[in-house]
Formats: sequence, C-alpha cells, structure tokens
Amino acid sequence: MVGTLFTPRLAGFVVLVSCLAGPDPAPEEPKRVKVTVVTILASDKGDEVDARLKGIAAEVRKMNPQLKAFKLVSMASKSLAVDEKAAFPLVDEQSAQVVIRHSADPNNRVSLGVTPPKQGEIAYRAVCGKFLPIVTRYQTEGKERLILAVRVQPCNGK
Amino acid sequence: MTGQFGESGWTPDAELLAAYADGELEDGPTGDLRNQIETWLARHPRAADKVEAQRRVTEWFQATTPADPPESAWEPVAARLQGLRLPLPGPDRRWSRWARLTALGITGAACVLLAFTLATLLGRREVPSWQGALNQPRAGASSIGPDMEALPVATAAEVEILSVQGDDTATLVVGELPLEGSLLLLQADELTLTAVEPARDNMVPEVRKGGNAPMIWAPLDAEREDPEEPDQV
Repeated sequence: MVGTLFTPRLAGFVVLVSCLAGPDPAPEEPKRVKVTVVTILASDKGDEVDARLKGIAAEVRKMNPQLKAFKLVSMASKSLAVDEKAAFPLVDEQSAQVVIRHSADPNNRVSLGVTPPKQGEIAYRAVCGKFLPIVTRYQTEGKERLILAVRVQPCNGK
Repeated sequence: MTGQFGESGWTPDAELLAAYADGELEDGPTGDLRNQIETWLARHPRAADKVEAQRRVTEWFQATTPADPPESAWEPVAARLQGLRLPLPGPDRRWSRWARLTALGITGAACVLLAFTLATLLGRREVPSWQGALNQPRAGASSIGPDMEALPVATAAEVEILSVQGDDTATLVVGELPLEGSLLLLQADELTLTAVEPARDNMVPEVRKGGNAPMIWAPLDAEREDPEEPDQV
C-alpha cells in the first residue's frame, strides 16, 4: 500500500517543493541607529569659531548675536537599538539622554527622544544624516552656553 | 691587662685571661698577676674550663703552623724578581699624542671611504627599519625581517571612533570621526516635533527658526523675561 502511494514521481515532487521552499529565514536583526552628539560651547567672549561650526554659529547668532565664539568640545556616537537608551557625556559632569523610539520609516525618518541637561525630553522625528541644534539652558562657570547637535544615521542604507 | 672590682671581688677581664691562656704571664713582674688569676680561676671553674680550651687551641695552632723559611731561602727569589724587569703601567712614550691622533683620524677616514665605495659599487641602499615597516600593508602582520614583524595597523573600516575631544580630532591617524567636515543642519521640512516635556521648573523650550534651519532653544532665566513667540514646525 505504502509502496503504491510513494512512487518515484511523488518523491521527486516532494524534493522539488522542499528545495523551492528553502530553509527557514533567519530572524531579522534589530535595526540599529547610529546617534552622533556634538558638544559645543558658545560664548560672548572672543570671536573664534571652529570651522566645522560655521553653519550652526550663523544660525544661533540670528537668535542671539551676543554669542560670538563657538568651540567644538567633543563628538561622540553610539549605535542604538529601538528603545535603547544611552547617555552622552557633555561638559561639567552633564549628560544628554538619547533613546530611539522608532527606526527609519518608509520616508526615511527616525523617531527619537533627547533629554538635554536641566530639561525634559524632546521627542521628534527627523531625516538621517543632518544635525538638530539644541541650545540648552546650561551655562558653565565661565558663562559659556552649552549647545548640542544631534544626528541619526544611517537610515535604510543611506 | 687589668681586672675590675665588683660585689664579688676582683675579676680579670677577657684580655687578661687571654694573655694568661697564651702563657704571657710568666714568672717575673707579672708573676703575682698570674697567681691572682689562678686563685680566681680556682673559684670559677667555668671560666677555668674556657681558659683551658683557649690554651689548647693556642697549643694546636703553634704545633701545626709551618716554620718560616730561613733568610737564606729568600735571597735567590729576590734575585730572580729583580732580573725579570716587569713592565710598569704608564703612557707609551714611543708615539707622541699628536701622532697617535693623526693616525687614528687617517684610519677612520679610510674606513668611511672604503664603506662608501663598497656601498656605491654594490648598489645597495640600507632602508631604515621604521621606513620598511611603513611600507608594509597596513592590515595584517607582515614580515620585514627574519626576527621582526611589522605592527599590524588597523584600517579605517576596522576602527570605530566612539568619542573624541574637539581639540584631539586632528591627532587621529586611523578611523572615521563621528563628525567629518561641517555640521549639516536639518531643514524645516525635515523635522517633526512630536512632544516636548517641560523641565522641573515648567520651562518649555521653543522651536526657533533662524532661517531654514530649525533649532531647539531653551531660554535662560534672563531670556525668559522677554520670550519670543515660538514657531511651529
């Protein structure tokens, strides 16, 4: 009975179907987003501007012309998974908390939350590869204004 | 060689006992001292035993010490030493100082000239070890000699710079900085603000647009006295 049902033709069909189905797909790795935080100190003393900060300095000066000097203190990046929180050290034991809320959507935008010093969380959605300036309310003892610039990348391979 | 008086009477000191053991206190001026010591030793048997042991050691030493050679034995030895005329250490007076310096200089110049000529003829050029190491591929260990290996240097793709101080960015040799070049700012249509939590003092930052680039602006207390109207993005 079994020999009658399990003909060579049927066996070949089973093998063909198995090959077409292929192995079980590997579980998709969670998408990680690389977050970059640039720490900047702006001051009304002097007029030296780091060459890398000319663009942001021009924008900030439109809001507060008294801030003339812009110094790049540090830059840091961390690769985060969704809902993973990370603290970025800034200056004077201050830090900024960053959490990825959602990886890149079809429009290539990432949702994240940033908590600067002495502030609540700022949640936003932004395109990849560009910085959002955050002028904080923290000042050093030398009255230098702490400014953050936050970027996420890459998104969908870009 | 004396003794000292204490509560138990006269006691000879160690040096005096040693002289007695060596037989230095014989009849004569020191005879009374010898009798005094013998009387004291009779009352101190332990000291007497030590003196007797010292006396036996002295006798054994005298019995086993070889006799000195006679004066006649030294004469031929002295004569032979005088005939040897051993050289004494000192400057070689055959060459003057200037002559020796001149010879040394000529020899050195000849060596340099010989080495230069050989190197030119053979067409060989020595490559410093550090230069050879730099010529090696940057990734992986490469042999530059039988006993040396170049230090494997990571490529930019193998290093991820996680954090760097602004003043140190020019010192990095390998790796990509978190920020290369100038900051490229978001444009207004590239940002959507979804929520802003107030601070503990209820301060809420504003979203300002200086031009096309939006920015989050948390006002200082002085700035809050004259707040600007926030723009919606």
